Amino acid sequence: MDAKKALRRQNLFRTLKTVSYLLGYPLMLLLLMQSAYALGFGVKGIATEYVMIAWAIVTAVQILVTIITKSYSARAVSVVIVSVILLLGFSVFFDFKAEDKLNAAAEVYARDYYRLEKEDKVSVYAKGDTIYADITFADPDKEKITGAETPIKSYNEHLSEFKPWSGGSGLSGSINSKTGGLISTYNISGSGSGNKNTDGTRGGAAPEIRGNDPEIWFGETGAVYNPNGLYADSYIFGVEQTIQILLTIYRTQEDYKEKGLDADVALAAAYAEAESSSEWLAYKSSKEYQDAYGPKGTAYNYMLTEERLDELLRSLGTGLGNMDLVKSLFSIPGLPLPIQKSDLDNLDLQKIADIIDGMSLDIRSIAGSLGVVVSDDMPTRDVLVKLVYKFCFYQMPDVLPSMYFIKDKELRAYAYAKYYAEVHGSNNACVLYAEDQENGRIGGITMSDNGNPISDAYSEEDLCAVRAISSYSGSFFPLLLVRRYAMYFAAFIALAYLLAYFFAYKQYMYSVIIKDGIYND
Amino acid sequence: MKKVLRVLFHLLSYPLLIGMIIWADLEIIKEQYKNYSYFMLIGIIVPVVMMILFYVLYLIVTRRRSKKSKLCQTVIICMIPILTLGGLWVACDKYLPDIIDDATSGTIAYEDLAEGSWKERAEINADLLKTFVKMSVMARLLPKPPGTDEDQATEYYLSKGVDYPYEELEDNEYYHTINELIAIQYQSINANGYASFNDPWIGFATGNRMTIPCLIHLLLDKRTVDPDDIDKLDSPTVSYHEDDDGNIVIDEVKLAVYDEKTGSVVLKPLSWTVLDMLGENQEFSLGLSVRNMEVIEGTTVKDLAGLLNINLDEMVNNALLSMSVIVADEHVLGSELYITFDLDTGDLALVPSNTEQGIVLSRGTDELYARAALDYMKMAWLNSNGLLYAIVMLLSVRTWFIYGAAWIALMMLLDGCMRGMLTDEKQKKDELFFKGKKQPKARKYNRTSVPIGTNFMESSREEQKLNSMQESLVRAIKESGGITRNDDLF
Repeated sequence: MDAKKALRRQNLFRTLKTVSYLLGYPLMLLLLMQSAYALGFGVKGIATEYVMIAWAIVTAVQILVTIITKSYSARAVSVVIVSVILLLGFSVFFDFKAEDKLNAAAEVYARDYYRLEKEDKVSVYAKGDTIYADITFADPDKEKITGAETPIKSYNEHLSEFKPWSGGSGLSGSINSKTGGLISTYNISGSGSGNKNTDGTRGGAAPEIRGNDPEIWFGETGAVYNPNGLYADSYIFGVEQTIQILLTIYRTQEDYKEKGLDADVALAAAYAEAESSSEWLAYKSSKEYQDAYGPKGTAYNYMLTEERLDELLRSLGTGLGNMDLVKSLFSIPGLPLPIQKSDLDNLDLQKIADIIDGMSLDIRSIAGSLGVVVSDDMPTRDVLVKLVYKFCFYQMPDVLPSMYFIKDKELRAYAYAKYYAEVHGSNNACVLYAEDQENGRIGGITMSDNGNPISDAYSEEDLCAVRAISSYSGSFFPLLLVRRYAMYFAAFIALAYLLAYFFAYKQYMYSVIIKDGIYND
Repeated sequence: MKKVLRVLFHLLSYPLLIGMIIWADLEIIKEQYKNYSYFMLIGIIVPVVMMILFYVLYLIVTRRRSKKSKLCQTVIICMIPILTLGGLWVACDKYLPDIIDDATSGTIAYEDLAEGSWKERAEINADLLKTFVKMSVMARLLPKPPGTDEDQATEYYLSKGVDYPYEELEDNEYYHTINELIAIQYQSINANGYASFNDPWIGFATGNRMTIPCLIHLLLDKRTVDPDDIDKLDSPTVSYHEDDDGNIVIDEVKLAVYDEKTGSVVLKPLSWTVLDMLGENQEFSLGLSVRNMEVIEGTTVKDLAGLLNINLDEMVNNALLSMSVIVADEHVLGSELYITFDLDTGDLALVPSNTEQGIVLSRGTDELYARAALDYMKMAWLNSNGLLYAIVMLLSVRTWFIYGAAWIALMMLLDGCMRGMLTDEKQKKDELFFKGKKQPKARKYNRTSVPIGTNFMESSREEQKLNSMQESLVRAIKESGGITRNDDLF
């Protein structure tokens, strides 16, 4: 053999060695990343991480066997065995664990939807393409529920419907659309965001407020709280917070309905009781409250106060009085106007109240219809002030709200949930609950958008389904993808390594031949 | 011939790239050079610098005394354009987003410019300047040269650039160039406008979450001016004092406006509403014709106005203008908000003060000032137009650089072939094979080159010796069942 031929052969085997190696883990990783991207799992997600870890382990074994043994055959066999164990072993392990994971998600749904206690027993089983639950209550008076369908599909159904090769359609797509629908209907964010307050401070993790039970916390993960226990002003709800808030509202209303009562009526009474309680009155005298809402309080920088309203009305009255149209109206004799020109001079809240009384307008009913509860003997001016504060009141981040002092825990949680769903939601264009359950609107209600109709609202069943699905789908589907690829590529990667070692051996053989052929005179 | 080809390859590398860039950007450069001078040439300066750097390295790598083979030299030369032209974009992707975010107050993202929309951005920025100059002419901040109308005056002020000291502005004590006017107006709308609004409400307003409570907060919340938002504290447009703790408290930030009463440009401490930030009308519709609405049975508003001998349109317009004056009171909104109402269609529009329509409406009363400023986002862009154009010109060459890197590498590969890369490699292989042995006679090209295909084993004795050595080696390996030594992974 001549040396040039030997050199060509050596180069050939070196090339074949490299190509064989690339047809193993690198090819598998490339195809997996493409599928992960198409399915929306992200290129840098958990699926890629698992394959990278397997590749790193195999490479470490390669280095180790290179140190330990000089035999190419031994090295090849060792590496192939480790690679096959990793890939096939993962698939087998996943098959064992996946069913448990799905069963656990089905149990989460059953416990959530049927509002089970810890002592109640749930057994889940797959039948056809769905998982069902049999529920046995600890309370002997409650009837057992059998065959309750859950929204969780069986493992076989997952395997047959999961189509990574078809670019994104299939079971994972339809499951993800439920969560996506929640986000778009209510105009929320996936995991919750926003920590800024109007007064320049920022919210943070859930605070300890006087050792109270956290029934007023609606999802700690991702939520951003102020020192007074409310969400930060700019907080946009995440999926988990939205589910908790809505379930609290629905279930409290159901509970009261079962007793023949109205939860909102009970809440109004609870508010009135809290605001007349000694604890609330004592709190109002505290420095914390007075710094915010006392004379020259800082909260008035962010809300319309009586004094500012009087100034605004005074300027408005003077301006209107100077308007030619208004002057000409007043100059028409006998025209029945509700106000006099003199009323426009130094117009203020008291004058407006007097005008309303003069017109016999039922301001108290109007206030009631806008959600402001006033007594029949409250002066008109005070009613107007209450109305203004309803729309212009600013809750300082470090001052406790009056609903904190509601004694009944269920009603307190209901008060917080309704505040978030209605008031906080209407501030931030993510309304979760409409008072008018027939014609109301929810979601992104802004100056230029009407939001979504109440018919799009998620029911209790839908919310529990989203929660149960979210509990497993985040990591389940990416790992299902890894399982698919691991099964298909295990043998292929084994062959790739065998070939790579074979060609490496041949390459080395020729390098020795060439070396000795040249220098051995 | 070789030399001719080498020159051709070199001409088709960097010079061709620079030529293509000039051809692609020539129009934008011609249009805006008078305004932003060397900022417009960034897209050309960068590849020229890259070319100079390349040729310096080329001369170093290919010097006569270099010990590297021609193949090695060619590989290094090919890598230079890939690393410099490609590496530039890695650096841009890392550092430019923050620069753009800061220059545009977060209103333009780097991704918006990087992916091919830089041309649209260049056109938008050109229009911004034109609109601002037109509004300034309408508001009489830029006096019309004699014998010109508003459009001709606008063209005149655009013709000589933003830094040109126009004769018409010689007597103006606050600004002599358009750039100086932009700075005054931007400082007002920024410090006294956008930056003075409280978070998170201004963020919601500009982020499609402007709810009624959000609007109320933006209209009614107490606003303060932060000294950090002022570019130059000691200027006639700013007044401030120090409090007891030595902190600077801004009293007023002024806007340049034309005062009808004095007939000159003055500085006024005017505030801005959230609608001025957005710079567009908020429109609503009552969905009915007020003019034809029945007031009393059988009598419409139009009939009633006729009976009372009232010009209905004039009366409504005057009333709405009076409302604008009322709303401008510091105790109400602190800034005028014009309202237009169509009696026939019932369409109501809230018109911000800083629009062309707002300027026209302000002429109806001498109590309000015409405000020549774009909305906040556009003023931020306009104020940073020079920097934005520099970035736009840089990003305009992004695609050229990416293609150019590969093309220039190919040209240099061909240049390497012309320099003798292929024959040089062959020669080095031969030296390796025949170290210490007698060399065959030199052939055509030089004393070390050897024709391809020659069997160097001229001595059959040597060939036999080699083959027997090979066989004994292979036998030894098989018998031992292992290899003596290997440093590779494989």
